[in-house]
Amino acid sequence: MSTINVNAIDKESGSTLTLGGSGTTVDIPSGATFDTTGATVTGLPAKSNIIINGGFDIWQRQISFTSTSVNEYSADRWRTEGNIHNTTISRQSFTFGQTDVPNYPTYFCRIASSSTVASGQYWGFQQRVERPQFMSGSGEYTLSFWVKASAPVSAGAFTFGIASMTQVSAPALTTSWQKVTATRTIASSGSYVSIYIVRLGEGQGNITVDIADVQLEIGSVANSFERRNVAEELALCQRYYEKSNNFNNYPGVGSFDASGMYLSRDGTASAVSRYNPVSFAVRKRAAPTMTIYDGANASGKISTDSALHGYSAGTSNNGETGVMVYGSGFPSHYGNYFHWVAESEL
Amino acid sequence: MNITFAKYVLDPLVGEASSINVTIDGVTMSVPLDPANRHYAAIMEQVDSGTLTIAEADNG
Repeated sequence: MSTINVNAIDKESGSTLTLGGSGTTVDIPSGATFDTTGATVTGLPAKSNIIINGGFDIWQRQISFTSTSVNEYSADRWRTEGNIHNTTISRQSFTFGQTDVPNYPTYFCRIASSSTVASGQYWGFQQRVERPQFMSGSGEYTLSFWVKASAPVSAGAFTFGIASMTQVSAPALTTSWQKVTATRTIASSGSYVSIYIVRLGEGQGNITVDIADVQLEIGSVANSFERRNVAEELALCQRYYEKSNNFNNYPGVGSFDASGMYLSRDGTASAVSRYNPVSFAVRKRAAPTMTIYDGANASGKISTDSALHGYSAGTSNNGETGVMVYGSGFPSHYGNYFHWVAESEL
Repeated sequence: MNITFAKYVLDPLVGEASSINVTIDGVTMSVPLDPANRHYAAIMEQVDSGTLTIAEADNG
C-alpha cells in the first residue's frame, strides 16, 4: 500500500467527489476525527425503524401459540391474516454470543406451518403499521429481516412483502441465516399498512421458518437493525396491548399471578356493586376492549378479597387512558381483586 | 373471530349503553362502542350481516 500526503482532495469537475467504487471500504482509522461541522450529511442510517417489536423481544400474551384461526395476535403487534391455517408461532432464543445475525439479538420468531394452503386461500403473518402516526407519507420504503428455514426452501415457496401482495419477494431459503430485503413504493392511504414477513399462497406451506430483526424504514437502503431498549419497545407495544400481570406472566393461564393485580378492600357493608377505576401506563390507540380475569383465571369474572371467585365483572367508560371495572353480586363486607387486559390493536 | 354472545351494558353513571359484553373465541370481553375498536367493528359487521344479535342491557 502506498501513501500520498496531501492537505486536500477536490473534484476535477462537476459537483461530486467519488472515493473508490462499489465494494470499496473507506477506512477512517481509530482515533481519527470525522468532522462534518456545517456540512449536510445524507445516506446515514435514519435510526427510525417503523416496525414495533421487530426484534421479537416483547411477548405479553404468551410465548407459544398454536394458531387455528386468523386475526390472532401472538408476539406483540404481530398477527395472523387471511384464511385459517394450522401454524405454531413461538419465541426462540439465540445461542449466547452467536454472530450469524449481527449485534447479538436475544430472540427470534419461529413460524411452523404444518400443511399446505388450500386452493384460492392464503395465510399471512404480518404487522399492521398505524397511519399516519407511524407511517405518515407515501413513497419508498424498505423492509428487511433475517430468515432461515429448518430445511431448504426453493425460490417461490416462501413469500413476503409490503402492502400490496401483487409485488411479493420470494427468495430461496437455506438452513443458514440470511438477510432479505424488499423496497416498495407505497401510495395507499387508510388507517394502516400491512407488512407481511410470511405470506403463504395456495399450495405453499409445510415449512418452518425462523425470523429475526424485522425493520421497515424510509428510502431504498436496508440499514443495520435499530435495537431499542426493552422499556421503550414495551411502551410502544402498550399503545395497543397492556396487561396488569407481571411481564413474564400471562393473562388467564397458569397459576394466578398476584403481583400487579388490582385489589380493593372497601369493606362495604352491603351487596352493592364495587367500582374500581383503572388507569393505563400508556395511552391507547383507541378505546380498548377490556378483559377481566378473576383469581381462578376465568374471563369476565372477578374475585372477592377472600378468594371467592366467579362473580360477574364488566367495564364501562372504556377510554384511551383508563376504564371503570365493576364486580357485581358480591356478599357484603368484601373488597375485590382481578387482573385486566386492555387491547386496542388494529 | 367467533362471537357467541353479545349484550349491551349500561354505564352505571348515566344509565345509557356504553359497552358490549361479548364472548369471542371463548373469552368474555367488554367492548366499547367505538368504531375504531377492531372488536366493535367485527361485532357490527356480523350484526349488519344478520349473523349476530346484541341483547338489550339489563336495567339498572
